Amino acid sequence: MAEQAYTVASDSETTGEDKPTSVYPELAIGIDIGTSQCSIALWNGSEVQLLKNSRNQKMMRSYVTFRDEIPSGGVSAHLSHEDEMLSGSAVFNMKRLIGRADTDPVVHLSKTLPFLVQTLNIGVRPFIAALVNNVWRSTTPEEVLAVFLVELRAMAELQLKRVVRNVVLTIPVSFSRFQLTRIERACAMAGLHVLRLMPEPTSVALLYAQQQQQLIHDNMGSGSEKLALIFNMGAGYCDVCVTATAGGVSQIKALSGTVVGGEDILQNVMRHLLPNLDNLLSSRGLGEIKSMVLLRIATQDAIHRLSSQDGVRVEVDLKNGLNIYRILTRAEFEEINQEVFGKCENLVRQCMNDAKVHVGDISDVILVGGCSYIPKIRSLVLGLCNKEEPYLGMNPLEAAVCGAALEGAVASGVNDSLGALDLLTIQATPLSLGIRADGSNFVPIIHRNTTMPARKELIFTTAHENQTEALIAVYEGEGMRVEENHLLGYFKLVGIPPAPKGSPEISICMDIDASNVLRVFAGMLMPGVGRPVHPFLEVKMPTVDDGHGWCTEALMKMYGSTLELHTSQKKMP
Amino acid sequence: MSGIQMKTSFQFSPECYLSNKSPNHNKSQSSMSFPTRNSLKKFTIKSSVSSETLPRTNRKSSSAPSSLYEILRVKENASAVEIKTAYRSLAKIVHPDVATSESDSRDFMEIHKAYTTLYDPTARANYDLSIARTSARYGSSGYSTGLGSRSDFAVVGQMRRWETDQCW
Repeated sequence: MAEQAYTVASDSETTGEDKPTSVYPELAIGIDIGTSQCSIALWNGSEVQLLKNSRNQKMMRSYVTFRDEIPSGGVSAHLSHEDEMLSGSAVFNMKRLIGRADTDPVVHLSKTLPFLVQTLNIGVRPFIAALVNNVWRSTTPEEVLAVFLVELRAMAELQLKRVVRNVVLTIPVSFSRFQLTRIERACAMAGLHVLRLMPEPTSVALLYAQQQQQLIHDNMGSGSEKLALIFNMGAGYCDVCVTATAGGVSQIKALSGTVVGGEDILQNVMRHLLPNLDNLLSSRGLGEIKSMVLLRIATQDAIHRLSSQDGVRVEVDLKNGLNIYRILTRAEFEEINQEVFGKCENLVRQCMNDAKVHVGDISDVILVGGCSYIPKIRSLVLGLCNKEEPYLGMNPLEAAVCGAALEGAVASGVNDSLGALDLLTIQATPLSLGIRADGSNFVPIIHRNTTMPARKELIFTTAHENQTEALIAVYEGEGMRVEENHLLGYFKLVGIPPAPKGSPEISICMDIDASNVLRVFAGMLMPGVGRPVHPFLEVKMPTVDDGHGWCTEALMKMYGSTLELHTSQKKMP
Repeated sequence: MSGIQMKTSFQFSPECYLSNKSPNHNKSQSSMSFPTRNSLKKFTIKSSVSSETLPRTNRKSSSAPSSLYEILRVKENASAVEIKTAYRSLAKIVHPDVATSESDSRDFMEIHKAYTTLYDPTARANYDLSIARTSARYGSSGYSTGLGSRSDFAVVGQMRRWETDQCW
């Protein structure tokens, strides 16, 4: 293999400002990095084309094997057996781990994976390591993704015979802005410039918009607005989106998503088949890893077969004197995964509610992602939408990457003479953005499902007499209290003229531009006049880095409530 | 009535500030041009955004009054479907993702704001009422800052409430 060129860039690298400019816009390619599989596609001038690897695969496993000095990913590596991937030397499921602290329950769930995931429960990045020559060698989710992206890039460059730099990546709806910076970092490490990060269901929505447009071209569509509900569930995440489509414009009405997916289903079934699974995990000897791997493979296989059969026989010798020999029925499977299905149901309900659509108005229900093959998931989502059949126009595993490729072409400014790229996605914010005020309350400034680009302003005031400084702590999430949300950053506003509490007018304005960059503007306004007292502060978010869990605590300890803000009753003039 | 309304000058910039300038500014002035969305020019955009749109620093200087109907380029009796269609076709021109010419997100945000107000029957009724009231009370020509601000305030207040509910 050619040498792995790691270009690790500076902190501000993720925006790509220093990239050489070209007279001709470079066509951005679409990449869907799934928790378990990934794919790459691009607009080839007349249609979206998925690229295949040397083994003629369009869907490649998302993992990296560490052997000797050079790590190799699932794009190029030739695995003799599936279990080699699960031997401890391969690291996967990085999409579930990236940007998460070691206090996150999702990180703890990942401990059943065959590689090492160690937590200290103090709010820092977990320790991840792969077994190489009987030594646990450390790595990071960003590094693993970067190795993987480099391989994808090399594969694309070889086939396209040109440099690939700009990409559109799909991401889960529930990713925090902090997690997005980690994804961008991984791309930067791989020498890629992120043109857009697209929530997965919105990329499917764009593909749907294009297909509807195509129908009109073929004189088969009515041209009127169509509402579609998109349900996307892969190995790591479940996302729902309601989109209104007409004239090639896909307007995202609402988004919802959470970290629940095939991995959770797999773990539930593994625990069901082997109740003392956690005992097996504690020592992490080679024998235990081997047993866990065998169980994982057998369970995966059983779940796949249950999509078409009512009951399957699970027979596996886990070694170490452990055997599993039993029948697993579909009813049993559905019973043990009730909680997972319940979460899916809530997401669909929440999304329809947020979009303010009635079940009867939905024209199409689009089911995509690996878990959309599970009969219970299909019947559940279709039932909630009162539909008999899902939309059949797209491949459930390829839809997201195809949409990303379309967005790549549109955002690169590529034109199509037949109007096939006459498309637009009007995105919405997946999570609310706001600041801490009125004690530990989260006060949203830009609400969830606000059309982007967006700019909103709220007026705040001081909480204490003659308060001259205020702490602006920016959060993202849906919780009423800041602790339930994700801290994005903080800064201090100084120079507030001494005045009775509640009288100063402090303007906090949030701006999301078309590239989804969030900026927070803060400043004092002259009472009644609305002019700034001092120059405003402009802060690009997020500013926090790893270990951000500590920031809130440190701030509280240092300042208590002395720099607190209150929401102002004053209406904006 | 419609003739009078046309002369009423509301400027629905993203911050909803009332323009106090005379109503005969033409449309071209309203769409202030900024560097494009191209990420390579990000710093240019940033500087223009921060200086121009910082809350209420320069509302007096913002030019170009136009009614929400003018922004969407529809008639005042346009149907909801017409309004939506107009919004979509304008979005395809000015949205930063597709705009080829000099345009930034503010143009799109302005159009979006006009659309959300006019597409919602209650908000549209309130808006129609407010411009009718202003024109009826202050006649056909210009009016003072204070009075204008007050009617603007009414619209903004109603829109704010709706915005919080709707989360567009």
